[in-house]
Amino acid sequence: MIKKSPLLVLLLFLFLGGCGSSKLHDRRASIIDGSIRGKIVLLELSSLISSEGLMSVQVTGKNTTDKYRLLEYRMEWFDMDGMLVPTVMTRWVKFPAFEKSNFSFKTVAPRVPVKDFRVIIRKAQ
Amino acid sequence: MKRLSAILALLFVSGCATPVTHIDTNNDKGKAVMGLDYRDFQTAAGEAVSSMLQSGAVAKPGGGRYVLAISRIVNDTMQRIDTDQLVKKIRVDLLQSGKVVVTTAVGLTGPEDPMAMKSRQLRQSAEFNQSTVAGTGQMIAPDLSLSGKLLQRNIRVSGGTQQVEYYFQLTLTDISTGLALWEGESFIGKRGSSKSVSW
Repeated sequence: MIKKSPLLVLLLFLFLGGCGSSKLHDRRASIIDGSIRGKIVLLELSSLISSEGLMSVQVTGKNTTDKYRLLEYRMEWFDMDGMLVPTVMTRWVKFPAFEKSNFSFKTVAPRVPVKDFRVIIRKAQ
Repeated sequence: MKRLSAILALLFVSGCATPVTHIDTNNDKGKAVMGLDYRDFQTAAGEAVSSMLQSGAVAKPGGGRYVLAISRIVNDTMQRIDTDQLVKKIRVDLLQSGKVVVTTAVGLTGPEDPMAMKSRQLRQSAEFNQSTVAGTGQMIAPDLSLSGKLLQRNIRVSGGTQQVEYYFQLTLTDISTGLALWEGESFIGKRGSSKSVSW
């Protein structure tokens, strides 16, 4: 029984990992609206620094339902000290999530010293 | 009896009045209006700044900052709008981006802030320490110019419905060449009762 335990744990790990592999688990992105959680899933979060030093972020997700949904996101930016950077670009921005389809949106940091971000998504109000 | 009437009247009046509340600008669930409100200006300004930064048009080759002058922003809507409601938001964010600095010494109808020129008249005054007075040849001429137009179209959709379309068109021109480095358009469309006014 003792010998079986590591194998059991490994199988359990692989099983859970396999189930969750398509969903994104990143502290920087979250769906805050309980009514769409599970229906809208986040798949990928990619960021890069442009040649001018500005950070660009692209979020990709999927509407797993067979219903068109209008969603909105709000992006907050943080400087190298972790302080919030105020900008007119931090606002609720609507975007479409078509039925059974992936969606993406891209946004750019308001200034060069931005080092981190947080994006929250909900159903459009 | 009179006192009771007064109390009742007071309760009646205060009960009818809509209480004044502050707008939560981060989560405003107030209904859309047919005219333009602050949310529309935030949207247009946010889209313009984001597009400018993403395009690289305000990234000066070799580093440094561009000097931007604000040119003519035409309000061609049916509403009485101070176009600074849009332009100021863009200016603030561009300035904070570290890519652009705005000159207030040059404008189509004179400088936005005449003090830069006015303070140079102190050169003649013996009352002022002349080493603290702005010298000649220190002002920086603009590299870029921001111009644009706000448009409105009203369309009757059906008997009781109208559609109002707003277009925020902006252009960033390289003053040395006269070429447009960046152009952007934000569209805001609204549909509602034709009894609603949009001016």
